[in-house]
Amino acid sequence: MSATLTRRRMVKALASVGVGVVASPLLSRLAGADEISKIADIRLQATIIFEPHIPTALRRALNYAGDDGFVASMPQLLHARTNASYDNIIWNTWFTANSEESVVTTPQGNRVVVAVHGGGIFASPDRFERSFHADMNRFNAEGITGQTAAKISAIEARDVLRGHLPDGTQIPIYPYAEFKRGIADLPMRYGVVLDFEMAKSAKRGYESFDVLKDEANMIVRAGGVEPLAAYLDKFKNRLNTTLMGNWHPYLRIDPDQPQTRILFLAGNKGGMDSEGIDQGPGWGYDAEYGLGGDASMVGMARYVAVAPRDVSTSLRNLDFGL
Amino acid sequence: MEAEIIFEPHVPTALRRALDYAGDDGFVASMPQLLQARANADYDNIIWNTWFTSYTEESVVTTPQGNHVVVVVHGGGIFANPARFEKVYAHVERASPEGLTGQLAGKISQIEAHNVLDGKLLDGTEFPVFPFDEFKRGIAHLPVRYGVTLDFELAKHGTRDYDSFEILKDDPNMIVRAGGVEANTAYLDKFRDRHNTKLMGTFHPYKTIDPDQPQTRIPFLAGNLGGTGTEEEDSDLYGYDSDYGIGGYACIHNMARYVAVAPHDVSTSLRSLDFGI
Repeated sequence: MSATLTRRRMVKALASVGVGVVASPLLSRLAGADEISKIADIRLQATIIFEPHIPTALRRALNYAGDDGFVASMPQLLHARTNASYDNIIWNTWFTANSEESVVTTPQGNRVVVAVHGGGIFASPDRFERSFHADMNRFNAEGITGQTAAKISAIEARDVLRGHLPDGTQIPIYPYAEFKRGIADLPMRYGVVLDFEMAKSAKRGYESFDVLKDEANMIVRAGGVEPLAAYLDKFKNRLNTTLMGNWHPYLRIDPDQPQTRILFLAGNKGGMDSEGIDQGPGWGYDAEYGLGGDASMVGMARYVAVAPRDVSTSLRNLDFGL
Repeated sequence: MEAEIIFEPHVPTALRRALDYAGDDGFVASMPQLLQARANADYDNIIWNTWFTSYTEESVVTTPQGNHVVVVVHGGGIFANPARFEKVYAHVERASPEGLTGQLAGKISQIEAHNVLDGKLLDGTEFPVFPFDEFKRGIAHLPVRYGVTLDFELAKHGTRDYDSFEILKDDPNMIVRAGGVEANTAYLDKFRDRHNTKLMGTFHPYKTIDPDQPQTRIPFLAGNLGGTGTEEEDSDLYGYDSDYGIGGYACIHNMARYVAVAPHDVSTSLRSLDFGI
């Protein structure tokens, strides 16, 4: 996945896939080239990858996505919900986002939150496993914090501030104020830096849609002011509710410890109890709590992976004789 | 019903995922189902352009009367579940009564062997088992899960190599693997017409094994992009992606590519949603 893959570039890339299937010199040499000379019907196809172990799920999701696809970030999940009918599965269960939020200290000594969409420090399964396999002593430099975020190194923290990722990728990093004003042609993979105190000041709980539309964490998680407003309107109209949940860990962590968490998008069948009012014994991992940013880094995961597929050669709808 | 390819480098892992996808209302495709799908698909469909593992097994057992027979089960037999494969893998010692044979089949117990002859599995499942002669004449309304018993000598003297389509149409192993005479003919005609070839491969292990040792293998359906090299073994390029036809002697400890089929409500799928790129 390219760090600067924009919508325009993705469409161009998809077109080149189609051309490649038709005109590849390699394929034209094959004995069966006449069979595959049809115009390929390349479409982006999404799939759900669920595993009880985050690295396993991410590994499978990245395998599905391949070089030309992606694992959906929080803005992409919200965009899909905004444009989907409420009976679609995207509205009726929870998902893990390929988005992360790191608490780091700048070289100038300022505490900030760096949100990265599309794959950041924890873009690879190996990075999760490194944290999991560290000594689970909370004073270990590489393991899990007492509040179950993943500790990151000072180098990782410094690099992510500059948009340098461990795999060598360089991504653009926007200051929050600039991001809020709007970025033209946002790439799929980018970061936003938010003042820690601003992130911390947001109510951690259920809030009105009007307040959420101007809440900094929400704006960053949704990919901007406009997509956030669109998502919140759609969410509100589902069951004509007045509140939605918004969660962050910043009130109860040590911000001097560089650390990262991944984001979860809540959901359950029918979107029940989304205002946090009827939370009895049914409260649990399938509660519709809104957007979560304080979950444990050790957990299960349900990613959405999206990749171009030639649907004309899929076996999905073949007759297997029943 | 929607089909999905499940590939893993480890048979039990692949089968576990395939069974999960299939759920209670779906199935993992057996060899007759894979061939049926190919017979009705375009040649550019992926079903024709790679290899697959079938949810079919072939066991060599001795009847209570002392006759050696091959019992073929489609749709889940002794090795219907991942744990049964793992039990074999846990005893990779040739002398072990539960591990792999020297020729890499999975050893089965006498109880399993006798039960499968009667269409019974240790988990209590029962299915019909048809003698080959009756099966060849045709069975109305075949279930998804069933067995066929074939005399071992008849199976042993079947084609084990590349042969003409006319001979393959009457080959007992082929007839059983395809799910009947008509299904076999339809598949072979479609295979032949792909490149107007004259030969196709079909393989079995029966000339190189000890039939007194009860044992089971799973058949593989060969394939590669374009269906190249289907008439003979190419000494330089021959490999796991050669289109050798239908294989019945592969190692039971292997990688696997199953097809799982299950009902899905496509109206609520996120497959075609816009994720905003």
